[in-house]
Amino acid sequence: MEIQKQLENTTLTVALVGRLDAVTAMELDKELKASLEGVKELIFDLAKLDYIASAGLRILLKYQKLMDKNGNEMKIKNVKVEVKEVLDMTGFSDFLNIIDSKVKKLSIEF
Amino acid sequence: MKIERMGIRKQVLYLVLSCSIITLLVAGGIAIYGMTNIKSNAVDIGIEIGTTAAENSSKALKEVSIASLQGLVHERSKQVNYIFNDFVWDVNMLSTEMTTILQNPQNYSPRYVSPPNIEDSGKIVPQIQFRADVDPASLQYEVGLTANLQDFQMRLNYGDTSIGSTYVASESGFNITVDSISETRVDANNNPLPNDYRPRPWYQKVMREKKLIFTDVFVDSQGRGLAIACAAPYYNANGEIAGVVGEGRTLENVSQIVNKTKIGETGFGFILNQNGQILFSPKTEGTLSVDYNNNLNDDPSLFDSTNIEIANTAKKMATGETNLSLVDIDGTSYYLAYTPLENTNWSFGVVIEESEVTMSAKTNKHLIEESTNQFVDVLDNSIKMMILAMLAVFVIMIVLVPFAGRSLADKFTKPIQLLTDGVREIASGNLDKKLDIQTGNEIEHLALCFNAMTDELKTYMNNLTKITAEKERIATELDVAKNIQTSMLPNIFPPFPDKKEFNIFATMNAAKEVGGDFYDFYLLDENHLVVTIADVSGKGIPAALFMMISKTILKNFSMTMSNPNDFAAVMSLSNNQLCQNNDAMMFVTVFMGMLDIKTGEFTFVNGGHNPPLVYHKATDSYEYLKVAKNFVLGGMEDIDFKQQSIKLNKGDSIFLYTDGVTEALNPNDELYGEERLINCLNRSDKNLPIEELLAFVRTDVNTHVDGAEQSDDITMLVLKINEI
Repeated sequence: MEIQKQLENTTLTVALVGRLDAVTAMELDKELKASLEGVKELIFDLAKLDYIASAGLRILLKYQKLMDKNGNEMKIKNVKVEVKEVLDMTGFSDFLNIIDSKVKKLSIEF
Repeated sequence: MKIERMGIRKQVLYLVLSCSIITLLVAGGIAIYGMTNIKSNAVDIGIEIGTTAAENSSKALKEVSIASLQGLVHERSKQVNYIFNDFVWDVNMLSTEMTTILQNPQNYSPRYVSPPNIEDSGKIVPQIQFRADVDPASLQYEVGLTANLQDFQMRLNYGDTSIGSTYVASESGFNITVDSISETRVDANNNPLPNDYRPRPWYQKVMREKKLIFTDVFVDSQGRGLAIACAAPYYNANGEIAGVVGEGRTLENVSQIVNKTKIGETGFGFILNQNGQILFSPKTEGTLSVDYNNNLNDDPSLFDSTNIEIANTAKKMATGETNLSLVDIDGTSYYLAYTPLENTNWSFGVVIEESEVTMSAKTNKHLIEESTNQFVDVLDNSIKMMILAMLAVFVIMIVLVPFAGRSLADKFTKPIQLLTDGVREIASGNLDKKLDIQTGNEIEHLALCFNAMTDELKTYMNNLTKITAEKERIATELDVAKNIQTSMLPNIFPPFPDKKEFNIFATMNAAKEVGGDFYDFYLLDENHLVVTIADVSGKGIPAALFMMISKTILKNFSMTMSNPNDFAAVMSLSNNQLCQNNDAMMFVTVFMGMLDIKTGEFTFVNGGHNPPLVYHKATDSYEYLKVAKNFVLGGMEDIDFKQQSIKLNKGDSIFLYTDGVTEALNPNDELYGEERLINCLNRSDKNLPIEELLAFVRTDVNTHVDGAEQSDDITMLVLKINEI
């Protein structure tokens, strides 16, 4: 997986490319830990993220909580269908701030 | 190694040898080329300088020789002229004196002059002689007057030994002569002899030409060699010629001048008269010789010489030219310088052999050429010596350089050999080996680096040993943990042999690492069966531990449940429990269902897990269970879970799985997915025993995966209703 970070003032945009699985989730955790100093707004751009494993979800959850705790904001945008399915299934869509609404509705209704 | 070492040795040897030889050859070549160049230039320049110098100096020498030749002619002719001018002066004085006496007789008393007397022989005395045809008495006055000249005549005779006689001869018929040969003027009885001077050449020539004349040369009657007479007329009161005065001289002094005229080895002088006859010459033989014993009239004239060159030159001399010419005389080439003499029509000539003039120039040229040749020889010798020296150095080098080169090469290669041996020992395992090379150069540095490398290798190997041991320990522990984890799951089938109402079967294929999947089932009481399938986020020990906690908590809360409607509460309570101290932000997706064995009612709560599939016997098809969206457990505290239920009938079944199934990847990174899963199940034989159904699904998943490595646990559970 590729992690592309872009810091503008206090906004850090992290674009994830590829698969966020157990191994790459640890990388992402490290990267974020090192980059969050002074960040008020954390945006995940998942336009090129093909797959997210439960370990990836854990990272999203962890940083959502961390940002919430410090009174900062975390957003997720450009979520692909495949990933949105997982987020929906696990209930994460209700707890994460997903600002992109162009996601198609799942073909399978749960 | 041995070969390599020899290679460097040889290379060093060749390098030293070739460097030396190339240096020698280049330096030597340049030196030889330079010297050869200098030599050829020096020879050319030397020859050129020699030739030019020889030519210039030859020319200069020749010019000097010729100039001295001409100078000699000039000087000697002046000397001769002086003698003749003296002669002329004498005679002119005699003439003037005599004319004065005759024209002023009143001033003079008659003087006496004695006739010749034998007793006066040898003494210079004046003597009177008469012609036979005159009477001496009648001439007494004139004789007395004329005798006044005798004192002057005497003075002249005494003053110059070359003067043979002075005389005055009157037309009247007498003559007074001053000389020392009285014996010739008397007869045997000492009586004076008459003297008729009129036929004498000097008298006739004066009378004919009426001016001062020189006679031809004649042989002196006294045996004093060649002689010549000079005579002039004198005049009476009427201005008429009264007689002739004259002087006779020997030409001994002229002869001496000619004889003493010498130049170089071969040069000599000569006097030529107007007839082309040689008058004076030191030579007694050859063209330019003279025989003083011969009558002059018999002497040959050079005008008649068969040698045209000589004849022409003689004519030029006779006509009074001053010149220089190169003539061939008796077979030898001579330079001849000549100039006319005053008073006479003679010419003074000096000759010198041409070879003598040019010889010094030739000698000079020869000397210069010799010097040049010597210089060239010296250069030649130097070059030869140099080539010899170079050859000697070459030979010495050929002999010495291999020795020097060998020891140099040894000096280079010995430390390398030491290094090689040491490294070989280190490579064979002796890491305590220390290389001790002190060459002070790169090889020593290399040895130090090797030592440092050995130290690091040792440390690294020690660390590696430790880490390997540690890893093995951890791996062993993980294995044990995995075993414990697996054995925690119910794995005896059928689990409830006395319960015929349902069948249950589950498998868990763990991935390489310990994972977080688990399943569980247990009877709450006689009529209620709880099935659970769950997936903890992440992998490894943390996931395994969290799975254990989750399993325990879920089971504990379920066991305390008294009413089936509290099933959602069980999830909520479990969630809160799992959220406590969950700093690692672990969570677990859980699907938990409870079957009422009597009624077939299946109550379930889905905590973010993959929706199970339900088989309805009535429709003979599988479908995904429509589950409410609940959040995962452990993610967030105090959340509510929605409880749902469906009615299962006889023959129906429910298929639970974890995402290890749907997210199994093939080599092209394609997920197995829900679509394939449901298709697979619908394709299956619906009467298959549930153990074989799971194997069928597993086979289909494996087919899709096509050998790719399993990245997640694959856990499946199927519950089949046999009867209600």
